[in-house]
Amino acid sequence: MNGTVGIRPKTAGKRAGALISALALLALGACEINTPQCDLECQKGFWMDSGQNPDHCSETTDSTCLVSRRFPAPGDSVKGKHVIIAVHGFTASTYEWQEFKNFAEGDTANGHGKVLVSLVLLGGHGVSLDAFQSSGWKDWGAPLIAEYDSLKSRGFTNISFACASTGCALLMQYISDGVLDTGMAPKWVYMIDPIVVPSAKLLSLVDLVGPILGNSPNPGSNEENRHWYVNRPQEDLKQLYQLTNRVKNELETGFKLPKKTECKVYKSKKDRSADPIGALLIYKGMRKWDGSHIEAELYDSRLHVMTRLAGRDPTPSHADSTLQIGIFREMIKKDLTLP
Amino acid sequence: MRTQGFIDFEPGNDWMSGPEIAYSNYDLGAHRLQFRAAYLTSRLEQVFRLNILKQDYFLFSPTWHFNRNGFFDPILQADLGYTRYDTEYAWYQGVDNSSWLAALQLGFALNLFQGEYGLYYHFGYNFITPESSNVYPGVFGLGLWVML
Repeated sequence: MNGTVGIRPKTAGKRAGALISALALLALGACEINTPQCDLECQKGFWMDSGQNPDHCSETTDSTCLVSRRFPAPGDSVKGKHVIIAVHGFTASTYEWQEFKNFAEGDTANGHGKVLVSLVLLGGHGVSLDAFQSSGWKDWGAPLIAEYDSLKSRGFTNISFACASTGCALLMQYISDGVLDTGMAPKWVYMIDPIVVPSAKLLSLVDLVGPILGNSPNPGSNEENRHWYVNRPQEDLKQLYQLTNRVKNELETGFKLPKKTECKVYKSKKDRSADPIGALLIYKGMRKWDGSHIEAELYDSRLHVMTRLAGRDPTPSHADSTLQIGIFREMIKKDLTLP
Repeated sequence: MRTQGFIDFEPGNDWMSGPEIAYSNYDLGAHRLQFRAAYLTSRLEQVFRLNILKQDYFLFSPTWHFNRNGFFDPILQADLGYTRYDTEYAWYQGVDNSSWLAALQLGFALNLFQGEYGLYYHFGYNFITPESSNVYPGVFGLGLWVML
């Protein structure tokens, strides 16, 4: 009996301790340890976050990015060209596909001039941190479908997609929803390091950890800070996890590409952003119209999205450059091979 | 029988299920310490859902029971082990497909019929989550046992 009386104050003490810990956690949650920041470099307008250094493709007058704007009323010779809609990843900008555009459209000596590359800027991206913070994954994906519809309405008949990382998650969501099934289907879908399972597994607890951290900044080289958002507010990380989780579930259930659409996944073996498991899940879960497997390739690289080599620190190796050119060539060859 | 999933507050989950065997006696912390070993796998589910990964968990879980003789028995459990998944296809070779595991979980057991049968639930944090793995930090488990 005495023992029971003796235990009660201890139990009460433990309960009080637990209550204080819970309140402290809630207070931390309200605090947001890492609020989005703009340091001196950012304030001078060098960072994309600042809003003073937007992606040139965000300007409505720009006619170099979207093929639909470059050719508002295309002639028959232009309509017959192959168009690849290039879609960048999370926090990135059209800079991620600029090297591919230069390669595909510039190398006329090798016949690559037959391909036009349409650089799509995802919604909420490439403008300012405020625009990013207030956007969701449905906003991010809207411009890629808008460009696809726009090209179809202008009479282009050979349209493909090339996507990187989160751009691929968005595209797969549209494919599984059947958005691309109506009318003319894309010829090819090229996926570079598609993200289905994030390498940073803590992202799965973003609903719990996000309100405490508030932000997860990811500063890069000066060049990268000009073309990528440095700050990654919790709202956007939640959106990213929602999207990838949704796509993962769709892949586990299984879905098919539109009729006659081909697909190839290119994935680096070591990737700090997108787990290679994603490529395996895509291979298993996303089939061609006839039920057969898509193409997939793993390569030895530590780069995430090797379509962009400029401005990386450390400088990419010769092997990375060779790999990039090899993949660019293959993509163009595949695109031109299909009638 | 134990089944384990990940905490992510989103619909859908990866479930690993399988047999678990446990041992304890009155000399082990007055019956409060229990040693469990489990083989959990997604292979059963994979028969019905072809597109999920074929993944295996091998776990050793020392567990401390705070109220062994009561109906409601809070538990503290460590999970030490190893996980791997099948790479399945020739093109998907050379990837690190395995990982060690170390998790700490809190929970409770419900002792039914004086401990002849019971249920348990636990949740916790897995400290090892490699970039290339299907292993997440938030874990929870459900179990059902029968005393042999």
